[in-house]
Formats: sequence, structure tokens, C-alpha cells
Amino acid sequence: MNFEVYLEIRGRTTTVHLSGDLDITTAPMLRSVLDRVTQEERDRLVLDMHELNYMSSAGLRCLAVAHQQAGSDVRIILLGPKPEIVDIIRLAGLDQAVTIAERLT
Amino acid sequence: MRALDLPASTEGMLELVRHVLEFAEQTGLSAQQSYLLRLTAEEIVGNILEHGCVEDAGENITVILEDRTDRIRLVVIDSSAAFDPSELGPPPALERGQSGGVGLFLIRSLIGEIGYRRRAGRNETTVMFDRERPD
Repeated sequence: MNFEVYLEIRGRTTTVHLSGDLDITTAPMLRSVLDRVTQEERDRLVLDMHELNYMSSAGLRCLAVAHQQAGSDVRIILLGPKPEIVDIIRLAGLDQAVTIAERLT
Repeated sequence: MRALDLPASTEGMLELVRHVLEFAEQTGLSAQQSYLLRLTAEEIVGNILEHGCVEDAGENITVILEDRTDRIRLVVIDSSAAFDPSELGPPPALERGQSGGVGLFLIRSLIGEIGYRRRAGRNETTVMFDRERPD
């Protein structure tokens, strides 16, 4: 499965750029990255989803764990997810824990 | 109708995705429908991999895809312990770290009913959905 992750750290914001397909076979890669970045002190954790084509419940579980690990002081922002991905985030109720936006303000 | 026997393993999941996307393209599904079909198939098979069959234990999962002109029928057959996905309740709160059942909850929310029967010692899970997803 085609899936890539790369990190960008600027000041107190960590951005995780995602591309490809996030499913049960690729979620462990994201999980290990998020496990690491949520240990660092940051104000914002941004997941750039503009290039993410697909996400299943395995991706939702990664986001939920990141939310738990980062704590309530860290704002998690999902940038540019496609409508189908927004649908499952909302259906799962995870939009209560993260911010969905098209670009950073 | 197309039937595919998959090994109960990560390789089986990759084969499933290839099969579903090929079917979606050949039957002219929209991008949205293709996403929904893939999500449904992956969540059902993923649930079997996580909770049912032991990986690489030689178990096979059969996936049947059928184009019924105005509807698509997906059947997944596996030989793990009896499990009725249509009986699950609402999902635990993800934001509180409870993630069990969220995949099947998504399917029920997006498609509606999940059919289930236990036949000849195997689970048979059936999902039907319209080509045009109702808003």
C-alpha cells in the first residue's frame, strides 16, 4: 500500500504530512510517528491530509490515541481532509476532539 | 459475480484492496462509491483478521462482489468463531480511548443494515448498497 509520512517542526508546531492510503496495513507507521511526536512539548499537532487519499477506522484509532497521548493542552488540527474522510471522522465523533480546517490560520 | 479467496493475513488485505478497486473501476462506481465499497470490505475483513482468524493459520476468507445494476452486493465468508456484526451496539467513545467496534459502526452508519447468518460452520456477512449513496 502506498503511504508516506514526513515531519516538519516549526517553533511549537509539529506538522505530520500524510500521503497515500491510511488503513490497517499502514496505520502502524503513523502510530509509531505519533507516539514519538506526542512525547514532545508542542502547542499544536497538525496532520496535513491534503494528499491523503483514503482512511479507514485504523486511521481513526491513530488519531484517537494521539489525542489521548498529546493531552488537552495540545490542539490537534487536521488540514484539508477529503469529504469522505471528514464523514468518517464526524460519524465516529472524533471531530469533538480535533479541529478540521482547510488551512492554518 | 466475482469471488475471491484471500489468505487471512496482511497480504490478503492488500489483495482485497486491489480486487475491490478493480471491481469498482470495471463497474463504473463513482469515487465516493468506490471509497465506500473499499471501506466496507476492509472493515469487515479487518475485523476478522483482528478478532477472528489467526494470521497465517491457513484460514481463508471468501469475498464475493456482485453488480446488480442498481445495487452492489458484498458477501464476506469466514470460518472463525460465530460473530454477528449486525448485533453490535454504538461504538465506545474514541476520544476517550475506546475504539472497539468503530469500524463496523461506520459501516452501519454509512450503509444501514449488515446481514448475517451462520451457515455450515462459517460466518456469512452481507452488505448491500445502492450505487448512488443517499444523502
